[in-house]
Amino acid sequence: MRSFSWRRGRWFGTVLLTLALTGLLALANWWLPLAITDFAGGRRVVGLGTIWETFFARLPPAAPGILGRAPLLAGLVVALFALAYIIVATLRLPE
Amino acid sequence: MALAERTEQQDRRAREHVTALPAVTLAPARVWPRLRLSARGAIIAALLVFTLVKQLVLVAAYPPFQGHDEVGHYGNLWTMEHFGRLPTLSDNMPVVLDPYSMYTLDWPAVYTANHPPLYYLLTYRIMRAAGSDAPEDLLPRLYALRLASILPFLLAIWLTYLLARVLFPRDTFLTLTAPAAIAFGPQLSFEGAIINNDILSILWGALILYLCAAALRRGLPPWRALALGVALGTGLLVKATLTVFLPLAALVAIWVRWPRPWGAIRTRAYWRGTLGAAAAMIVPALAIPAPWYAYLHRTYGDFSAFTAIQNLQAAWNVPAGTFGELLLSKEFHLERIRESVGYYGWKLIPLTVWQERLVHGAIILCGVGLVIGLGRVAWGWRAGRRPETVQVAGVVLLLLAALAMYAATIYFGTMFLLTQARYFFPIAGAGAILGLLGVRALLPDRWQRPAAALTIAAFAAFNLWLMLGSVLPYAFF
Repeated sequence: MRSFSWRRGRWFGTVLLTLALTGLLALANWWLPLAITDFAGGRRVVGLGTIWETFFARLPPAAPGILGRAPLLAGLVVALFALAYIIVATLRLPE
Repeated sequence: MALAERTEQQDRRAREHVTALPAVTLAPARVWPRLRLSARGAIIAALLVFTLVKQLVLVAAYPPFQGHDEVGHYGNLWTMEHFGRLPTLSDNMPVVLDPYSMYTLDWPAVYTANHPPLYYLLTYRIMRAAGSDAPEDLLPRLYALRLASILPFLLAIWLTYLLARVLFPRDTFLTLTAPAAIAFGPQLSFEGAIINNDILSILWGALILYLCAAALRRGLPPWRALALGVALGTGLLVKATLTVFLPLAALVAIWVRWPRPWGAIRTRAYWRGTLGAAAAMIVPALAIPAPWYAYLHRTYGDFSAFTAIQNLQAAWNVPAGTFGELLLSKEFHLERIRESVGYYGWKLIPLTVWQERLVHGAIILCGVGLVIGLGRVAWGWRAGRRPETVQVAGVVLLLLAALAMYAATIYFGTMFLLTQARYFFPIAGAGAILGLLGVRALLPDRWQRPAAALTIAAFAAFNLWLMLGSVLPYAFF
């Protein structure tokens, strides 16, 4: 039986906290309202989800595959995880 | 020698806390140790992953050819493709770009023809691989060229990390927040998502500063002098503004190779090492860009083509003011701050009042911190607590680089109305480290990690606020 390792325990804690923060960021990225400035310079408040939906609905058709809906959606999930990891891992850096 | 040993010990200590990438845990024993990342390295890797996705979104989001000079740079590449030579200011843009003529300065002239050729040589094949010169391939080519800007941006972030680490190896706050400031810099991110040679100048600026700082820390053997010389020489093929780094690199070389003790000057080994390093640095720095500047002189009669550009733009271009007028103009400096943070290209997306106030507040905080930090160092110096010489020399190097590049931007304004903040972006890494050094001076040591996390989160929030609140709505609402 392997003995408990503080280093493995620390890594596990970082992963759990990162996943939790990723969930929070994903919720915020969908539900948070934001005051936007549109093309004509007008101001209004919309949900972040609306901004992302509009972005994905109007992606430039001439763009290469990596700028398609599926890769960018997958990328967004990875990016949220990466941002959460940056914050959690920075807080939990060894002294 | 003692200093080098001490630095190695510090590096070993910094590597003590390593973390594994899950995908490489089964790598062979010989490969594995090389793939291990330090804890800070893993955070920077995550930062690069986040930035990659952010840049992809920006590439797709910003309307075609609305980045500053995107039309002009494409005109350069198109001329190379069609005439098999570098463009001149007498060449015209292709007709296919006519719908985007409002995003140029001197339509139909290829007004970017005086820009050095390295960016175009590096991206030419990418443009050709993305499609033919048929009108229906214009946008696929645009997006391919925009995607090509992402890699230099990621490298600039990584080099800023190395720069901060080589100067402050034990400082978690600076080594993590300085690269984050570059990654989340809204206007820097924009440069990393459009067709432009400024992104290469940002990369080269970070590379030259890193090599200079590494020379301060670890000495200037011939191979590092050669690397610095090649970086300086190729830098002059990226953008002429990088000329500013020539005297700075020379100062660093003199400082590093200065005979210590003075008696070393009488030894043959000192002269062999010094002259070898000097030759290794000077020869490539002059020889690599020489053909381009000879071409400029032959074509336009000077080494910058400024007179030819002034003639081309005679109808609208006037000097923005004298050096003194611009230096003392509050509006001039405020405009450079706005351009550093927002505006995105042709100044079509201004910052809101609150966003500007936040930026001003952050700059004031950094400035106050720097003054307090300087006072604390001076006070400690009097009490016999001298800071590490390499760090003092490194900070002076960053300060000189920042001042020289800003002065060059002002000087450019004495000839051209449209001097812009992006001309000093090559010192973005230096600016980030200096500013954050101010914030660091306000922090107790035990707050380094939470303050770093908070600062990175604040950078990310501000960047995403601008991207989601201004850039995407400008393009799609």
